[in-house]
Amino acid sequence: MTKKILIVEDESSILMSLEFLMRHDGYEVRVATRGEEVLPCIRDFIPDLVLLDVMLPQRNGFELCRDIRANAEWAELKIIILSAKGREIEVQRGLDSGADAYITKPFATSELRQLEILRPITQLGWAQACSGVTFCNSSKGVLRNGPPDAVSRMRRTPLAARLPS
Amino acid sequence: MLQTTVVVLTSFAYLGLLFAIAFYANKRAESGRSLIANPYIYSLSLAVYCTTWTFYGSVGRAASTGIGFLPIYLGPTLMVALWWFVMRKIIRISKANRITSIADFIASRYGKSQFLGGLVTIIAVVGVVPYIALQLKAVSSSFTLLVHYPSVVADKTTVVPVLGDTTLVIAMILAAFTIFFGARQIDVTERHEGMVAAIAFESVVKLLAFVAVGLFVTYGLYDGLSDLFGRARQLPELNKMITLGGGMSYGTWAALTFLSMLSIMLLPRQFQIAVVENVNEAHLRKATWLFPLYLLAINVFVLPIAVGGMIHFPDGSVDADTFVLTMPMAHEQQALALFAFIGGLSAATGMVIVETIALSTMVCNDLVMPLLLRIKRLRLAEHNDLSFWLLSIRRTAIVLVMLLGYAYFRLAGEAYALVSIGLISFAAVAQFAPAIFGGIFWKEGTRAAAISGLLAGFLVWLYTLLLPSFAKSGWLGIGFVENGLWDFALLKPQELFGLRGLDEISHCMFWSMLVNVGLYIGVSLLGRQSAAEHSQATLFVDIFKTTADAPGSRFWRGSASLPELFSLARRFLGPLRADRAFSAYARKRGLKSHHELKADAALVSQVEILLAGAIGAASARVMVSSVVKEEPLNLQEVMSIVEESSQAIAYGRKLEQKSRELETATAHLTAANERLKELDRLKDDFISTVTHELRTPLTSIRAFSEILRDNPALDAVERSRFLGIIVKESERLTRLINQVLDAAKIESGNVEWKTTTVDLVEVIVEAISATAQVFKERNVRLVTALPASVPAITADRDRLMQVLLNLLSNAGKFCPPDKGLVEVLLTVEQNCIRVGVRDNGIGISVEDQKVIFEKFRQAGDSLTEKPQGTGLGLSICRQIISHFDGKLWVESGPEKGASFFFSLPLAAAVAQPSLPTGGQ
Repeated sequence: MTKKILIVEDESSILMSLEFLMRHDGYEVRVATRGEEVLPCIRDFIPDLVLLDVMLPQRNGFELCRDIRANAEWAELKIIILSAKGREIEVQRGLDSGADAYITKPFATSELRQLEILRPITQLGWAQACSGVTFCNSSKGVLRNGPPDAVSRMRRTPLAARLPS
Repeated sequence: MLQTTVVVLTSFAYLGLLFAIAFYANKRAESGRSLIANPYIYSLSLAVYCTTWTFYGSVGRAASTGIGFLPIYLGPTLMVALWWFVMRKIIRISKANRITSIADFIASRYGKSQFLGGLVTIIAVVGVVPYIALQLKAVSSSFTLLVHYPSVVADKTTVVPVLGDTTLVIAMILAAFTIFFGARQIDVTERHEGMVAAIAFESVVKLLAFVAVGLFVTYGLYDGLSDLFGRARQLPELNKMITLGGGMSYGTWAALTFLSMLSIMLLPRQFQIAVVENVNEAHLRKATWLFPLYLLAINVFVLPIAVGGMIHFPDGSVDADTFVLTMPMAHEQQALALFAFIGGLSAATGMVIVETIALSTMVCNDLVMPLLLRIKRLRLAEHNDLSFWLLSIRRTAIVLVMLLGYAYFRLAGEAYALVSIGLISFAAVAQFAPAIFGGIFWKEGTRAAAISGLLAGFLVWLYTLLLPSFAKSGWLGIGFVENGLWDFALLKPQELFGLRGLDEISHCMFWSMLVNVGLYIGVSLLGRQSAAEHSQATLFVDIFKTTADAPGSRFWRGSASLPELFSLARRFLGPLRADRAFSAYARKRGLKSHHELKADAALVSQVEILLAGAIGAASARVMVSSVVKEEPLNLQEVMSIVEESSQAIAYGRKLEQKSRELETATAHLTAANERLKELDRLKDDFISTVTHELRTPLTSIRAFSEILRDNPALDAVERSRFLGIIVKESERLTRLINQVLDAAKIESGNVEWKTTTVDLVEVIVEAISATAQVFKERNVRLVTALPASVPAITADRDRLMQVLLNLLSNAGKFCPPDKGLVEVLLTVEQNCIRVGVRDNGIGISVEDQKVIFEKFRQAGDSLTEKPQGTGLGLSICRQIISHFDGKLWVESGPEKGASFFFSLPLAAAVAQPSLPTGGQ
């Protein structure tokens, strides 16, 4: 069964690249550019995975993430936050709001694609080797009080190392 | 006519009664049941103010000036109202310092100056002895009148030999009384209860006698007041008398009222009764209305008696001063006449007794003792018990003052100098006013000032009042009064420096008070106080603030021995009194006996105060310093003491100031730290914003680069589309970096401004054409309202272009797509050109309007969390406009669109307003 991915992104060029990558890898793709479109779209499309930007018109990604997690129906839904906000506090905030992984822009397409292709979405840990990716490999919410290395791993990434903290 | 024996016997009987009363009051005082410790006796004793000058003289004055006698009683009535503030202070000071006379008061205030004490004493004696003489004369002439009536005129020429003179006998009896009840003991502050009781009794007698005569005249001879005044109105010269202002100018009224205001406080006898003999400050309260009431009572019948007398003796054959006696005599009321005589006698004796006590105390303490201590100091120091000696001096002084008064009376006789002495005396003691009132309310008054003021005032008084009165009595050539000294008209004593139109009393008061007050204030301001003066000044002025525990000890340094101090006290107070005083002081300090006392500064000043009661403050100081090895405190040392304390104060101030400075610095640091934190946060936010902005194009660039790399088989169309995106995003990245660098440059002031003359319309047109593409893409309509030409301004063209581009692209970005409308306006104002860029977008909230011009702050934050730029554009714009003395601001409301305006001053002063012309 074809996995379904919802891409939420308001920067048209980024959206275009993501859409190309996901379709190219055989996923069924829907896109949303505005925060308010997200929840109706999920209800309608029932994706397996949401690639979620944070800086959106109307509603930001963190809020949307919390809203999605508040709905028990969508417990199986995976959420990956893709954001240009790269500070630790923002990463932590993203994970706290219920995301399964937090990927800092810019990211390496190869790694993203590779991971998508090689592993089923439901199997966690797929983003483990990916630079710029912070993830949660147990059940959601653990990262809220989770192992400190979840964030510290961020620092080892080349981009993260250039970030002010 | 009354029998001489009857009059003499009655007089002596009356004096005997006085002795009895005084004796009884003293007994009561010794047994602790004071007769005089109540406000009624106090108020009555104050009525010693009313002498024979009141008793006989008021009627005389009324006969010549109508109600012109009243100011003498109005003044005290007014003054007494202020007593709670003034007299209470004087009483408190006097009690604390054991001050026993007005001379002592002034001397003590100005650093216990012996010279000042002596000067005040001399003024008082010169001014007041004639007044005593006047009393004796009144007794004498009333006696003569009573015995020889109606042959009054003949008797005036009869010379009575001194030894057979009843007046002398009376004077001596009064001296004896004064010695008995006034100089019985040494510490003068132990009040004279017997004397005060007798004086209060005398006040009752004179009031009753005067009222009795008044009632007799008004209701016995005439049919009440209306009948009396009705008849007076028939006679022209009497009618004048009972109308207001008869014969006296308002100036004279004011001068006399003022003069008697001062006299009620400054006459030695008034000071004695009101201050020295005061038992309780609280008595002042009742006296404030009781005493004026007494004055009113004794004045009620003055006019009726005067009018009655004038009607009865229309030919002027009888002196109006004697109406009180002659009216009853003329109507065969011998008993009443005798009573009136006794009333007059009581008025005279009361005044003489109190005045003599007061003067003798001054003469002894402020004149004789200082001289004796100076001349025969060694001999005095050898005496073991000087108290008897001291008493002898005082008693001698009493007899002496009395004899002086008598001698003056004998010499002056009917002379003008005696008749007018009442007011002349008042004017003399009024000279004390600046030194006393200044002294208790103004700390800066100095000894030199008091001396010069007093001396000058006294000399003016002497020259303008006393000497002319001597001249008018024929004792001096009248020439200097009429022509001026050395025929120099400006020096005419009663028209000094050409001051005419005043009566002699007002004239003297004007000049004497002018020089007195002027010198007192002037010399005080110019001069400097010695340590002792300063200490006393503080003590006097701040009497209600200090505890009076150890007054005067502030500037004392030295050593003393207890036995020496003790024996000093014993010498002047007598062993018994000294023992008692020391024991009381020891108890107060919580010691069992006075042997345990330490001879410290407090004890030294205590002994000084004890002695002050006996020999006056100035002499006490001399005596105490003879046994105390006082290291002389010269001015330098005092200054160093003052300096030490002022250094301590200054140090304390400095500390305070330092701590305040520290507080301020801390506050500044805290604020600076907050500011730094804020800046740090802003920097953080800025970097976060900038990096976000950098990451966004980078993300697309990387993504598409990788897509192109990983998918070589992409068709040409898609490939070129993706490459196009990469190029566009790279440009975006470059723009961003440039703007950040630009902002940093402007911030650090490293911008090179290329200032030229700029045509704003031309710049606007170019900016519009540069942004046309953006508007076209978003389908936003652009409308302009620009005049054909505008005055030039001075600015950097490229920078203005940058501002316009920024405003235009902002407007374009925030406009709703497709329905967007942007207007560009330019108007020429009085002194400036105003440019506006208006959009019809979402608008900017009031809160956001405040911050959008700050760096890194963006209105978008709260609305979409999607910043449309670096947050630097408007900040850069505002800095550019400000650089050219212009203003950039925004007018907006949510959903109303936003209008950004900037104004720039015109290059020349000439502004040519021109109407905008519409255009697309």
